[in-house]
Amino acid sequence: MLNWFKVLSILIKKDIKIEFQTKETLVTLCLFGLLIITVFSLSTENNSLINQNFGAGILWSSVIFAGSIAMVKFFYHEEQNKTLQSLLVMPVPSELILFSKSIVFFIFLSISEIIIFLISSVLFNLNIFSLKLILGCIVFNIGYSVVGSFFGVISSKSSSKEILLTMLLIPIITPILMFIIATTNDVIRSELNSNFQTWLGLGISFDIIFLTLMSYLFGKILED
Amino acid sequence: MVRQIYLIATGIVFTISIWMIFLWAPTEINQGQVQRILYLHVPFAWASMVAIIAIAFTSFLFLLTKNDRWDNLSQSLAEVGLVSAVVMLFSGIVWAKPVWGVWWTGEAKLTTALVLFFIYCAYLLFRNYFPPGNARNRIAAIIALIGAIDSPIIYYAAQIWEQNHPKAVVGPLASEESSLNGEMVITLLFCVLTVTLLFVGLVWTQYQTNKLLRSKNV
Repeated sequence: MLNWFKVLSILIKKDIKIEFQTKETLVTLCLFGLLIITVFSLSTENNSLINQNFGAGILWSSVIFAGSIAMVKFFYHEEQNKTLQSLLVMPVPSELILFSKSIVFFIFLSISEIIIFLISSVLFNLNIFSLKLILGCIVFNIGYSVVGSFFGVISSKSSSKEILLTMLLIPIITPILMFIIATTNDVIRSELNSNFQTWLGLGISFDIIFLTLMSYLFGKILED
Repeated sequence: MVRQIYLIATGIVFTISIWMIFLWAPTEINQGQVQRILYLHVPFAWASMVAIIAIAFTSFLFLLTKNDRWDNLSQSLAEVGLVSAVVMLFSGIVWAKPVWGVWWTGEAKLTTALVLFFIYCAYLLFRNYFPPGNARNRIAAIIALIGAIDSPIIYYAAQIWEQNHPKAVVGPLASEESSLNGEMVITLLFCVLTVTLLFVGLVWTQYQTNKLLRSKNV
């Protein structure tokens, strides 16, 4: 078990070290996300009713699309340097590779969300910081990072990485996307009578199902 | 030869169902002529839902046996399933506007159908973009399984979502259940049978086409 954690921490350190050298994933996530937010802020009047109705959609559109572009960048170096193939030759369980990728992407996604939310709350005059949303973001980020890392590895071998990853990722994460948009809507509109607990149950179930499923299937996609 | 006879028989059955839809089945009192769209919408919805289960099953068999025939069948099912999903969505939208007063609502079934359409697209796009070979076929089978497992979760999520959003209340059928009489039920069941036959025929044809393309390495 100790060995398991040791290997995982080495893999995480490796990915963070690469990112600090290139800074591509985090910069792409933040800048692309902010760019989408800015475009939306230009196209809508600063009306509190409009912002309350469309705020959640705008926020999560920017996170999702910036996330999928950053995910492609994240796996680009792996494919270029054949790092994944080298790791597979070593006695490392395949699910550890998925976990390390997911954890690192989870960290990057969380950092970018803090920045995007801060800027959006200023641009759209929204009050979005609450414990409910933080909890929702953690559950969403886990699901998004695990499913994204799984499909990121798959699409990295394709010539049309960006479109393929987005097309594979978004339909599958629809349940947690609905969960996080509903939660954000509740927070923005300060709704008290919401079914947050049902949504949270669904979000956690999604994370457990897909974490188990993908860690089992990850080895199968790396065969050959 | 057998396939050609089957397709001709399906064509005859399809002609009968067209006659039943437009000439035999009575006009529904509340919805009027637009209700006849349901005779095509429901069977195609059925076909697209069955197709995703069938793809998951054939993909599972492919992963188990590594036999290329199962992979070919999965691909053919996905191609015909996508067409069924397009017909289902388009006919649903055309029916909804005069009956509900809106083209689209956040209803669970509609959202699930739309996401199902995107899952079909993702599966076929993957097959198109990924380099051909054993790895592509294996990963495609895994994607199909994931899509099938995700479908009930999407439906459940859409049901919770529906509770948050008001339903469309415009139109004569907004607050009452629709009632079909005997002839309408017979027509609907006959159309389900027709579309099922058509679906099998198309999958069969597509299977043969893909088999030929694979043998020529196209």
